[in-house]
Amino acid sequence: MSVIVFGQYEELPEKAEFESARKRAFAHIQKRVMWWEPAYISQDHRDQPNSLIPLFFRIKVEKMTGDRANPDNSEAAITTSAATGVEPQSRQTNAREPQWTRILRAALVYFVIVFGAGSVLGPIRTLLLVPRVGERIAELMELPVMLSVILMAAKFIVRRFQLPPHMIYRLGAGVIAFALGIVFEFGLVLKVTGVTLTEYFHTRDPVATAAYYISLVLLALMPLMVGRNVIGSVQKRKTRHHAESNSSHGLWPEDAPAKINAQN
Amino acid sequence: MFIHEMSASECREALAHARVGRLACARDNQPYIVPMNYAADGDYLYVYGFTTVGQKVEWMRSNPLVCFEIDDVVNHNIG
Repeated sequence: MSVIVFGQYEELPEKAEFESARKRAFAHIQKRVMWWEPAYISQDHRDQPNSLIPLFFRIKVEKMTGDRANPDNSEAAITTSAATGVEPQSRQTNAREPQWTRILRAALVYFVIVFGAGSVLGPIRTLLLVPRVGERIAELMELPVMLSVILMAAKFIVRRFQLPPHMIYRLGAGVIAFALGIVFEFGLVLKVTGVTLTEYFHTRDPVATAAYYISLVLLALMPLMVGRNVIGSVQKRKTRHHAESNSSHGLWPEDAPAKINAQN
Repeated sequence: MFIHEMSASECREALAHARVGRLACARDNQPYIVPMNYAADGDYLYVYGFTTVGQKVEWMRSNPLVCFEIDDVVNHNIG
């Protein structure tokens, strides 16, 4: 795993206009034990120290990207083999075979999250919204909520199961979850509610039905659509006002060596 | 090997947990990179550092455009 930050160096000198920023820098840095030591040691242990003038600075984060590498099957087999001394079976064939159990587990979790949310929202829609605004509006009101759930669930399974951005993994998980959803909807739900398939299609509002099927298609595609680009860019946000630290913010802490404090 | 692009939240989480990073700066087309203890703020708008005045500070004063990198070996095995 590696993360790269692109940014701007900003010095925080001991001046009134930097007082607040210095306090904030100190509040964060002093959480580390012996936080001052590396700066001190790096100079003190030189034959000719440059300077012992202490300095707080910050890097203004302008962009941030990160990559995580995971071994594929063949690498995992080699790693396991090296660790255990056991020769892996069919190392060559493993390299290109997708891990179906991982895809299946991801699909199952994806299905449970999305249809679990749907099972909670469905009764709310039917009992509370439909009598007030009608089926079409109720379904359209529910749509953005369900799409958000689908988006978050897709991001979750991609991250949790480390699904690489390959069609077989991403679309595989989406399509299996879609199939589970169809079975759930037309198998279990219709059976429980006692509605036949014909009645189901004849009684439902066409716009509401279309909205529902659009969300099902997006359910299948969403794992493929998320996380394909570098999305590590940091959104510039309004800086929140932080509670200022009440603790001392002198240049060197009281427990720093006397020698370095004498430089101030 | 699969390369998984990390989300913004994953990057922030990694930045919050690491202790040492590598700070790269450049002057007159010459890069310079040094390890650095750091702390990131809660908003992840800033990475804070504490140092003594030396080569990197002088270089960053003349060219404030920098890169900062952290890395970690998370897991060798799948599942």
